[in-house]
Amino acid sequence: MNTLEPKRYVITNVDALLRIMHADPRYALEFRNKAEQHITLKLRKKFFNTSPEGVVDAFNNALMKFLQTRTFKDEGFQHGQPPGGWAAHELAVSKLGGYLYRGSLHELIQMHRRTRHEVNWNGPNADGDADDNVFDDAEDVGDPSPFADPAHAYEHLSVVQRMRDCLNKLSDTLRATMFLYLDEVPMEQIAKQQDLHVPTVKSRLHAARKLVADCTRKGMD
Amino acid sequence: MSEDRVLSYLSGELDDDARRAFEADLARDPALQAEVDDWRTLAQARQMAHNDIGQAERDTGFLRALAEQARIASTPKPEIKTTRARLWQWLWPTPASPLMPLGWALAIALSVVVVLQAPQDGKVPGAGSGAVPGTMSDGVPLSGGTLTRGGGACPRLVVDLPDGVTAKQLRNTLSQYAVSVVAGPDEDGRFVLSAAREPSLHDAAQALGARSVSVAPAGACPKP
Repeated sequence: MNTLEPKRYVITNVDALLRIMHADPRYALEFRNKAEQHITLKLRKKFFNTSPEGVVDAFNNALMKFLQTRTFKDEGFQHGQPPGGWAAHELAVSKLGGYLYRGSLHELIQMHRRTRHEVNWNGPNADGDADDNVFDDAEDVGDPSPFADPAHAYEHLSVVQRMRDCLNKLSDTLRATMFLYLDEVPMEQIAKQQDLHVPTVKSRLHAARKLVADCTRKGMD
Repeated sequence: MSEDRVLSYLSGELDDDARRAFEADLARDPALQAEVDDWRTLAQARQMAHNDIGQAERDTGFLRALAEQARIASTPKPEIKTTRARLWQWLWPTPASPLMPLGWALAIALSVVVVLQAPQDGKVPGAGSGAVPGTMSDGVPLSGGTLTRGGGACPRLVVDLPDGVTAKQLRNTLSQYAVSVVAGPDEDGRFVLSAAREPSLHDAAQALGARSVSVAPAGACPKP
């Protein structure tokens, strides 16, 4: 038997999924971690101007609501299910993944509304997601993003992973400035916090981006 | 300068006009678009770095919630019973006692005995409206226009009354002893009297000066 083959389970409904994941925690965690990675990155691409904590919290809230309400339709499991059943990573990017993504998006928008009284985001809406009725699973909750293409998803994920490693290789000062900017701290506040002028903050950000880009390119060559 | 605009655009620091102008440039300039995309990928890398923090706690929380929900999922849901199912449950509660069949057999046997002992003449002319067929409105069984008390029978007496008995005398005597005429006169001029108690019949026959008295088989009780 090829031990590299992922474990597969034929899943017909949410109750069956819960029983399987309860009996096989490794499968459960593989599903959770893949879904978290897939969904948080996708959300982050859409919402540049948000905090990483907020994105993770949105995903976790959506996941817990899914566990509690168990409202995902049975047909969602049957759609595209391989003959041997779902592998955990496949399930995370299946219709269930799409459902969780929409739930997470809803949670994130709600968080923004609570904290800012308005949804202030500049992300592209190329996915065509409707922000309301995200739990209305009568609609197609499939994942129309480039992540749905496994080859593209793998390639993109490799770039992101490499970029993460390169971010961690930045000097402390550059990394601190970069992380504050990416964690939605306004540039004026970064300047105050680091005792800099705003143009200097911008210069550091450009420098850091170039270093990360070069590092990523080298790693990929 | 364009790089500064990108940073301001992404962090939402441009006013509406500047943002619209920037988005117009973005649509025209692939290099600018690539730069914005590069920053978005950087944000994803930052997200991935953040996801590594506290992963174990989130995993534990998930498994705990999963255990709780899996327990709920395995609990059978209470089924909504139909009237028929509820009736069956009432007749045969589950889990059934081992003596349940014996109890039902005894109940059926007793019912059969009661039915067999009840009078068999089942016609019910005169049953009041609103009453169950075969009974009076107060539930007392009716048979042939006479009452049967508790499903039993009343004693009967065949009497040959003297010619001198007037209708008034007959009515008063029957009323006094709570006796009814249930049949007659027959070809020989005899009447069949019925009452709840046999002594009342004999007392009434004696009061009327009956020429002959003979006991008839008990029958359905007369209406009061």
